[in-house]
Amino acid sequence: MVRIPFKRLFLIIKMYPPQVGYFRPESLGEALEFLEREEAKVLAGGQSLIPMLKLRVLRPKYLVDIGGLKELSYIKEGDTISIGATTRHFELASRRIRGLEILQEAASKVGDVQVRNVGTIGGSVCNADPAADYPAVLTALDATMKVRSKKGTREVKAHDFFKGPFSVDLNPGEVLEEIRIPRLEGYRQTYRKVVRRAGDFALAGLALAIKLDSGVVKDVRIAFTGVSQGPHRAKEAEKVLRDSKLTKDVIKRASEASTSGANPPSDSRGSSWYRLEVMKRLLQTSLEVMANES
Amino acid sequence: MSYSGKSVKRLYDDKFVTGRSTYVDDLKINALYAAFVRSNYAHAVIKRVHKEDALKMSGVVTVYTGEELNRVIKEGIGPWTTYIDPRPWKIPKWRFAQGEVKYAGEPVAVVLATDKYRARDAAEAITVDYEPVDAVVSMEEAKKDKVLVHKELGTNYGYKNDFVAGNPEKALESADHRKKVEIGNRRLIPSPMEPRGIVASYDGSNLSVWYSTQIPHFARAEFSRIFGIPQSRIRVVMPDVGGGFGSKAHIIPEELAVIASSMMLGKPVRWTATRTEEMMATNSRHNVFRGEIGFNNDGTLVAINGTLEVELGAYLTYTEGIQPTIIPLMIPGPYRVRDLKIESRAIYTNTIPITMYRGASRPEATFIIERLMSTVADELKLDDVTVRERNLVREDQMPYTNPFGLKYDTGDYLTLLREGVKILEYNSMKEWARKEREKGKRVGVGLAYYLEICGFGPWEYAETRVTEDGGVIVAIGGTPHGQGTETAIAQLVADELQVPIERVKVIWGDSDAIPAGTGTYGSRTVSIAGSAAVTASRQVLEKMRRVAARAMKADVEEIEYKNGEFVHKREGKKMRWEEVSRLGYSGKEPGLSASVTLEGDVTFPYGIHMAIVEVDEYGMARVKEYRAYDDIGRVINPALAEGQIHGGGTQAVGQALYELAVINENGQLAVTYADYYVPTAVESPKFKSYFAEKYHPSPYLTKTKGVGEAALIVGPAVIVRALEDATGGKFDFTPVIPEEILKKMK
Ligand SMILES: Cc1cc2nc3c(=O)[nH]c(=O)nc-3n(C[C@H](O)[C@H](O)[C@H](O)COP(=O)(O)OP(=O)(O)OC[C@H]3O[C@@H](n4cnc5c(N)ncnc54)[C@H](O)[C@@H]3O)c2cc1C
Repeated sequence: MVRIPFKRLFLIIKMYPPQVGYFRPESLGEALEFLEREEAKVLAGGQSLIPMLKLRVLRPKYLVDIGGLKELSYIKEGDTISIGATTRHFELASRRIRGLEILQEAASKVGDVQVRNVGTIGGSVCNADPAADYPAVLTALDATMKVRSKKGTREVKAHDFFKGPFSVDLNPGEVLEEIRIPRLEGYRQTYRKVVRRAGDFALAGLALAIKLDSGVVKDVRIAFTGVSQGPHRAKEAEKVLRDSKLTKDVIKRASEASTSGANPPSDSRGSSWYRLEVMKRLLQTSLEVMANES
Repeated sequence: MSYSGKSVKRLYDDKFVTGRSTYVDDLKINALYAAFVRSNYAHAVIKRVHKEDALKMSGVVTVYTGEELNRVIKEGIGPWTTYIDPRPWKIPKWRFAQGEVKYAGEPVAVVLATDKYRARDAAEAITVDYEPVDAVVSMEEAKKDKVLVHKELGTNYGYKNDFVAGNPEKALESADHRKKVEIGNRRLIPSPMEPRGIVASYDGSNLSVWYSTQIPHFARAEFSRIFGIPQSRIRVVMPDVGGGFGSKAHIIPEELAVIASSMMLGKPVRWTATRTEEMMATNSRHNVFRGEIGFNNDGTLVAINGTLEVELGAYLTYTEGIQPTIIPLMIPGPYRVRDLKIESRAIYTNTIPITMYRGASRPEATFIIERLMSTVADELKLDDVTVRERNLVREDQMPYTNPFGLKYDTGDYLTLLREGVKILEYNSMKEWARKEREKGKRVGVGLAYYLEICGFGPWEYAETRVTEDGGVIVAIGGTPHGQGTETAIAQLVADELQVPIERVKVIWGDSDAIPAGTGTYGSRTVSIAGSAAVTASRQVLEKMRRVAARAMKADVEEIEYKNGEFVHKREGKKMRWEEVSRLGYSGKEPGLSASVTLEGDVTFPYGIHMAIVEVDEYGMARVKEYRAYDDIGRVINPALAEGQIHGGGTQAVGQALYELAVINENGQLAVTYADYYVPTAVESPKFKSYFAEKYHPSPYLTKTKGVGEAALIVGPAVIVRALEDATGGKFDFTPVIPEEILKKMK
């Protein structure tokens, strides 16, 4: 059992946020130990958490800062790619992974340079902003989340992990340790994002991976961000495409089908109607590019 | 040696680029921190403020509400009477909320604590019992006068005045064509990088205020009136100010509360707005023009008849009265139309009070008249340039008195138009865009013309002091806060005194050090403060000649000054600048300083700007390039002038395409910086900026006119026109948001 050195415990950060205790563990074990006992929130890159504290929408008693834990920052390549939770956006944006090119593309479109230097993939995933970039990618690629607590480890499919806006399948005391993504070799992959202004969250984003054999779609994965409560897997569009050629007509029908089941919000980024239009155009443009390339 | 006309590097930038500048929040002073409790309701009666829990918290000194504060805040915030005649206005008394709140975000209590975190914690511990009453949060509703923002006024109309010239009805009837129009700007938020901030210190007899402001001397006068303290016992200091754009030229109740608290507690008190608070401290624009125009087959505009509605928000701010009174006067712009009726209306709503913003009334007027010109062009299938050629005031009509009595001083509008079209390559870019569109791209090119009124008087102060060691200190009543005007003024003074510019120091922004002043706004500082500085410098030089004459036992007329030397014309004897300076302080002379309050009036720069816009398949528009050709009179520092075009142009991109202050149905501001889109470097266009070499001088000594607002005055009309070219749609309201563009694209 890891003992928590109490002399490191009561550093108090006081900014505009409410008063909060700060703990910086030296290992994941120490973090889990602390989380088990205290009403605490994990702090990774702080790019979402700190603003929420400043706006005082959250007021945890303690922050457990896992941002500096080396053991959680890695990219391991095999048939499955394993990514440690505190791997920075920047690291993912600077690494091209064969069979997972889409991740580099998505990571390089997260926020701005400052955000990418500090923010982590785990933080983004656990924060589950309905307009965040990774959740769509992970949903399209059927990723698996490895979750750990003092009690042990469990695995959750991306599809089940994202439960709604800012809500994921994590219990108190649990930490997201790793994300596992199957390598999709021979797939064309793209992540496209529509923003009002550079560095912003997506008005709508599209993760697309497609496998073609002599022009016929063998497999296809389509997921959107920003258009629903959480990532929207466009199963209807996938159905239209599967075993078809990327003809003009098929692309058109797939684009129309992509909105089925989506329920985009109306907010200051754009109306629900507008988002549906953008979804269709996103998929259409992306598929057209792929059809032209093949 | 001549500095004027050259791009001399800004003199005091090192501290800014190395992070050593001092904004109000950087001042170290043993002060209490203020934090505000704000209303979530747009309109409510305040039943009770529960202070008890907050008062028990450690570090909390006290909590004040309007009941206490308004004993000290004797008078209300009122309009800027230098520029706004209050007589036709209906003005509610605006002090700290007491008994009732009139907009969501209005402060209802202030906490004073030993640090800002405790102050904030305590503010959150305060609960307020409200009884919500009917609110009116849109102009359309407010116009019905069913729900009143201020019962005592009996109406939501703060101002009603008809500006009439000629006979618009008759002109409309005899025009070849008539067309109904609706044009406007929606609400936006100025975004200085530095939010508002204030430190007030009252020691029982004197009040000192360090204040992020553009107008320290007016602020002194207002504080004097509001708190009943003589101006001589108030000092207002403006430290480094990180941008203003007109949004730091009005006073808000939070600031009065800080001063009042300091007076009641006898201790320094400070407050710096958070970004959320800054966004609620100033909203701007929101005006709609509805009416009809008449024009002839040849493209001449002959009549404008309509109603201008300007939103005020819940109270009349220091600066918002300018808009409904100056927009109408400037609607004719540089054109000859003489039959107009503009029914100008200003309307209270239960929303965040509105203030002026860079350009103040000229962007609104220019957007209206330029949209009208483009409308005429579209209706008659004429080119934008042709329509303007047919309407511009001709050179032989100058100086021209516009139908509302404004006298346009100098200019050759037609020649500038023709030169501008060439220099900006308008025709070839138009043709290029047409070809690109044939290839399937959505690109467009647009232009617009503007005539600006600027240089506003009534006067400005300057003092030139030559120190014992021959240095020069120029104290100006102008208050540069990012523009770099201090450098231009140093150039003017160095030239006037024929000394190296390194000798000249320009100071401003401290009402004890600079006895009088008006400030920096309305593109006036180089012209009016510059001319005052030149005048004061001339007077000092005259004094120095007298000192030299006495020393050389000559008549003043016999002394000639040139390049740092006073020469006895007959005898050839010389005295160096430094010697004369020292003698000026020998006990025999009265010292070497001279000050003036120089009268000044308005002047009229003008220009033509052009934009290239590209729209993608989602309706997202980007301004790729922005080009400007302006006659701003004599150009003292081309780099500084260009900088103003870049900054104003970027804000024009914001107003035209991005910046929308959404007020929800409950009257609350519904945006933060996550979705209030201030353009970043990525959204900023590539700029090309040219100034007319054969300029037309203003009557000011400097021969300058002004450039501080030009690109935001005309830019929105320019960008919207390019957007129309790119998409084939028609857009009459800013900002034009992507989904509006997409709808027109289909
Ligand atoms: C200006 C700006 C622009 C942005 N733009 C984008 C964008 O375009 N696209 C986008 O996707 N995101 C964007 N973001 C959000 C950014 O990606 C954040 O980095 C990310 O959402 C949070 O990651 P973090 O490491 O900073 O996590 P933190 O902010 O530290 O934490 C976020 C949440 O996740 C929890 N958490 C963190 N790590 C773990 C873990 N391992 N296990 C369990 N819980 C954990 C925290 O408790 C907290 O609730 C932007 C942020 C900013 C400030």
